[in-house]
Amino acid sequence: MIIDGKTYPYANARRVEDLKVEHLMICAKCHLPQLKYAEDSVAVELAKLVLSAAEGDEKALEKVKQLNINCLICHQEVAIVHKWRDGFVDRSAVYGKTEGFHPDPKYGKLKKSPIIDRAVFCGQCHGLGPNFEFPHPSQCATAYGSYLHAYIPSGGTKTCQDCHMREDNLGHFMPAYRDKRMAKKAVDYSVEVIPYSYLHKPGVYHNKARVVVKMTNKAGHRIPDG
Amino acid sequence: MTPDGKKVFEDYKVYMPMAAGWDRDNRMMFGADRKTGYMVDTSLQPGKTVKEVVEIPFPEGVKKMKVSVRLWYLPTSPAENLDQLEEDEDKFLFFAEEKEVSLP
Repeated sequence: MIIDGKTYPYANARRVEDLKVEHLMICAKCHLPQLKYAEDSVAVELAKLVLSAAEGDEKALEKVKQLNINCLICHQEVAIVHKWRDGFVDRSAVYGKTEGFHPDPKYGKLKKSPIIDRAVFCGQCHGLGPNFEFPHPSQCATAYGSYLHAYIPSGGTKTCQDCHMREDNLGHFMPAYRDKRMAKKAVDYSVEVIPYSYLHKPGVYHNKARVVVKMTNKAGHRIPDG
Repeated sequence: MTPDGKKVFEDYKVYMPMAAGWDRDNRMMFGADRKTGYMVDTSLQPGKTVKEVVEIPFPEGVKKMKVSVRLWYLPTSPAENLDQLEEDEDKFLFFAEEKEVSLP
């Protein structure tokens, strides 16, 4: 879509070869944050791979699948939100809830992220709304925005990690709508039905079933959102 | 549905936030590159209860019906194709309830 020349005529991209990292970052900010460290040639390579995969190239699809939000994204890249207060990310460390030793030859230090178990940590990607920092803003997930501006004002007290990790020992699985436990937790409901006969005019009744459905959202954000 | 299995009424409602493409013209669009904000939001809000009332007429001569209510989560597909979607792949059931209703 970027390269069709009509939808985004000022994107400076008319062919796949024109694509730069900045074009992909409107999505990669959250879907592949590590891309920001790559050269523009990588953006072209990735775009070609994705297009091939979309056209049915199984090998291309397998390569694309290797790109993911891995441990280092959460446990290093986005582990520090308040950099002026807590410092910038130490690239030789992984971050968690405590300090100590991490048994890895490259990342031997375990450092503490003060917010790794707070909603703001997840909110970095699970979004407030438009990403205005880009010349062309994108908007995907807005769950954190809903959490801040609807759930918290309604009296909510839980964090993302409470519902999606701690409860039911969900851990790093972090399920959402695909998991029946989460679906059950998310919505309370009731269905009541009453038959009745409506007197339309003298001697004429219309028989009806009146169905009343009530649904209460018990999640920490609008449903649906992401 | 009547006792002989005939479907006599069907309806659905969609709950979701809707964004206008590039925030103009009030025309809903999908795609992260096209959304900046929401123009209409019918989604289920945290802590809030939504009440829906549907009145289903009994067909002539029918005194008993079975009423089915379902809440589905559809990540990518339109609601009108519901029967063709694969459960736990394209559609995810949040709840299902069936009630029998009879005229006195």
